Amino acid sequence: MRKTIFASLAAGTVFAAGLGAPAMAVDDGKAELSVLHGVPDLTVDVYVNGDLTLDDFKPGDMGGPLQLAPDTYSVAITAADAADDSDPVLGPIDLELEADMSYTAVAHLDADANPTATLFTNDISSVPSGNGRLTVRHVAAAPAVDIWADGEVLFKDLSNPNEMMADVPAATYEAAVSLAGESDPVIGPADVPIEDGVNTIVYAWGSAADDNLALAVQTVDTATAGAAPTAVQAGTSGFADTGSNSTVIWTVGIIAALGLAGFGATAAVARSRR
Amino acid sequence: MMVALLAGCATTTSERSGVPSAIERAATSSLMPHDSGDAAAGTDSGEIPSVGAPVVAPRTPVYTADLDYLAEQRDQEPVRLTVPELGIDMDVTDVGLLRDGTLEIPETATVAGWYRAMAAPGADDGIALLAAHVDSPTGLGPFAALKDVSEGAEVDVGLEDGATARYRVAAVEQTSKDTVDFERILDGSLGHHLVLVTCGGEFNWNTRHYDDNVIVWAERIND
Repeated sequence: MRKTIFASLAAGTVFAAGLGAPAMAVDDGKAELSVLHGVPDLTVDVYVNGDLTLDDFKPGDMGGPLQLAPDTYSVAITAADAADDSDPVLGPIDLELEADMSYTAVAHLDADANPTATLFTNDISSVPSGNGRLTVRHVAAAPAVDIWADGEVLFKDLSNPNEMMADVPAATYEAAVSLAGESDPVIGPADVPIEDGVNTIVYAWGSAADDNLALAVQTVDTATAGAAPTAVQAGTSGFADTGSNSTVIWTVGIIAALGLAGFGATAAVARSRR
Repeated sequence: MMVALLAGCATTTSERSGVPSAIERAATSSLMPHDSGDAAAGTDSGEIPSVGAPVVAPRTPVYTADLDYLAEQRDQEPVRLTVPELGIDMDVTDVGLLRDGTLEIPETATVAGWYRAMAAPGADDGIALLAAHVDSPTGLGPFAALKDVSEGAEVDVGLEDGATARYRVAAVEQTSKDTVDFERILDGSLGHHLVLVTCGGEFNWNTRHYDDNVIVWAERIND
């Protein structure tokens, strides 16, 4: 009675497409690198291993993600009008990138407003079903902060250049940043959507002294992003039963459809069949 | 109409052949325009760079990493599902996975759930999955008719911006939950499809689940 679509597909291209392999958040065997520019008021060029990779890169911009062979990469940041990377304003710094990992390199201010760079590893490990991941990174010239979600402190006392993260039910949260121990927001509140299986990474960047604190956001798929459901249980009451004893239910269904029986009668018959 | 529908339960799923080829065709047709589109986008209005032009940086996608950009990247979510042939015309809401990894299904059978972690209807890539209960305590839901849908029947999905993503049915299948493999069904590597899922077959009165899934594949109609 059942059609054999799966057997048919198995002989075709679908089966050859590497089915059953776990969902890969990063291209197989590659390292994923994004670059965030979090230094206010400075347009730059970014060189990777001596090659101009990001031209006229502006504050608040995110470049990538690049899928790179795992290796150590030298990154130099120069003035936007530089001819090459011989006179960097930041770096060169060596980034050690491993296979199947996701990274974000951030050029930013340290707590004392000096330009610096930090390589963060993005957590792309599995998230429980129905959840997403929220990562918050402090890359601003500002003291330690608390991170608020829907009016409650979610992360306490986060300082530059650190991060905190949590897996939370997928939903949109009203996020805000306050100085540690205070409640008045210095950034936000702003709506941050957390999607199933996605690591949403929020950066607090800029300078408190210059009054240009801001949020930057990136999303990185975890291993569970877009995971197929293990099953679809899409029935509740047996009205569509095609089983051998289903005549009774069909009759009830027909009667119900004709409006001759109410919910009580159908429920009674359903119960009697157990 | 309802009586005829119920009588239809006694018939086995029809023996439509060529299902896999329909899927492959659809996959190819949606992949090709996408690839060529990318190529066109990569050449900057088709201008040929002059010889001796300075070497430009490899194209690295750059975006303004703020919340507005994130919002722009959101798919237009489906809000309405219609299958004129079956008289289906129902609201759509978004659903996720339950803690046990199974798909959340809207409580009422008159609302279909769109699995928000996969593609949205109208997308270029990936599978868009809509599911609804086949019945509720008060009777059959609209998706009870799915198993009898004709190949080629039109399926329209209304999106929140007022646009409509149009599909036609390529295949319908009823398969035991013992063997159904949603990782395979929802593998988007062959291109974009709409997949509708509900339950069918015998009802297990102990587990209160049906034995089978009814699965409808629909391919995009390019307007």
